[in-house]
Amino acid sequence: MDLSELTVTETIKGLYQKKFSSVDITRSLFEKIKPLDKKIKAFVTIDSENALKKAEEADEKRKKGDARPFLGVPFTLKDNICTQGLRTTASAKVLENYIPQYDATISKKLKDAGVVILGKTNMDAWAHGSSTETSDFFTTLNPWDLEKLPGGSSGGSAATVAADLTIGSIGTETAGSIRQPASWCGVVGLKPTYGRVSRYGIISMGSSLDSPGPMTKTVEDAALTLPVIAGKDPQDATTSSIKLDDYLVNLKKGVKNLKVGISEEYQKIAEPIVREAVEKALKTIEKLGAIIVPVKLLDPTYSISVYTILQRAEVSANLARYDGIRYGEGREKFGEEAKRRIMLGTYALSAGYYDALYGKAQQIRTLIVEDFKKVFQKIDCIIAPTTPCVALPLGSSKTSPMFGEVQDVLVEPSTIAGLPGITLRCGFVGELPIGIQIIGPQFSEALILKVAYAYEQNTDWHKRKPNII
Amino acid sequence: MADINANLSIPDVKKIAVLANIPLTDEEARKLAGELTQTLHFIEKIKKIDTKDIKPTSHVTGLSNVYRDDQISPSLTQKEALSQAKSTYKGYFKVPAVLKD
Repeated sequence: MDLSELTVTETIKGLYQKKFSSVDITRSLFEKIKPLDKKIKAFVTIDSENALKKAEEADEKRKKGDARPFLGVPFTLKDNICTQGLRTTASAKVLENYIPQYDATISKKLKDAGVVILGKTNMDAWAHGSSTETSDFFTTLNPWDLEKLPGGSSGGSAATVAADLTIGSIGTETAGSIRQPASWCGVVGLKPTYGRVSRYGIISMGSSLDSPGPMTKTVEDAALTLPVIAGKDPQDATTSSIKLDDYLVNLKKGVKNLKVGISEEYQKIAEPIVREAVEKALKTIEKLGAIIVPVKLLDPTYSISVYTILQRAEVSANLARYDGIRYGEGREKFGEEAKRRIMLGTYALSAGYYDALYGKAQQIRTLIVEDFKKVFQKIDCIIAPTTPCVALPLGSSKTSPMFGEVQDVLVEPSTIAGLPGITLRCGFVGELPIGIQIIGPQFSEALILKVAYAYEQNTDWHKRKPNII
Repeated sequence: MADINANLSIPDVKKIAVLANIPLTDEEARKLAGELTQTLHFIEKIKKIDTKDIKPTSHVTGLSNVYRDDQISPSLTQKEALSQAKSTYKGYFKVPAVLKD
């Protein structure tokens, strides 16, 4: 068996049953990374020496009776997640040589769980984009078709999962940066509720929105991984003390009598072929016992404007700290996209325009929050396309200064309201995967995982692999 | 309430660049004037939404005033804190002068 194809679930089981060692898996992953990453370019930093050392240590510990489930399980991390002693760039020239002196809370949690970090994955610089084309280093290619974009900003993470260059990965989302690349690369992407997972040590983008989360081969893998990184963190005051659910226990309970909302306002934005795939998926979910309820939601296109203002404003504040004095390079090293965002954000927050732009956007944010609250009184979750279309050709992001915001229209409203969402495959256009998302009320990760699992297990989409591997 | 000035000129862009401390070439300023104007025209549509008496939301999960005890906890050593700085002086960060004689 090719060990690189293992899921998190299979890895944990196999390590426990001593079918293979962490060194075996880690070696077979690097054997694959070596030739394939030359084509896909998913990694900014490959940390093979240290990863193999950690895998050896994990195997030793396991021999001595250490039974932590994630001990020796290899993961990749998006390159905006600080890893002590391992270069962390956010794919930005300003941070090209930055070696963090500390671990992000989620890096520490993963290390404490015994996870082996294979390397750091490429992204749009500072997470500003939905293509990886704004990376200051290079563009990652979609493993399903090397002439297509992987999506972004967590495009490198999504590509490593899709191409079996890792067992699992961690991405971050502000609006779409987990779900959109997961959708375009055909992997599972879980964007948790805002505050479910700590932001400490993650290179900030939009601080009222940023949410790290798992990107995995299966829904069960996401359910297994979430509790490893989630929970209250004294270092991030916006994390919630609401107890974590037992995601695994709930996972297999099925969807009988669940009320699933479908909104025409979302459906009509998707291309016909994507829309059809989502409608077909809804029929499957209905057959499994769920009740499909048409609901009316605010037009998501307003969210593009609201999100653009909130995010640009928060970006301009967050990137103000990069002055090249304590670490990193000077402000002249910012790329085009970062400059555009900082400039618009500065304008939106400047005297005279604050009320008309940032203030107004925050008021509409209230309307969006209320809109979801009202709908969730009638239904349990919402199903919608994740992205309007499948992966676009290389170069597409250069067509508009708002490419990312427009691509992410179907995930922006839920992210503005801090809601969790999960995406998984629901079909293909040729070789390119189509994504479907399930959105739930705040802290309903157990519920959306359960719905995603029921659908995944009753379809065969997740079994297909890209031709390149 | 000031209206959105959706047509940014090159001098407008240069003024914002000073506020944002972003060095720009003339060519970049010219390009940005066009791109930022395009984005502002797009987002202008929020004007159409009635938000009279609507409270703004800055935080979505309902937390307020998160406190902790003021206790000493481990932090970076001076050496670690300085390890990424290009220029240091006797255990301090060296910064460009901002005050003139």
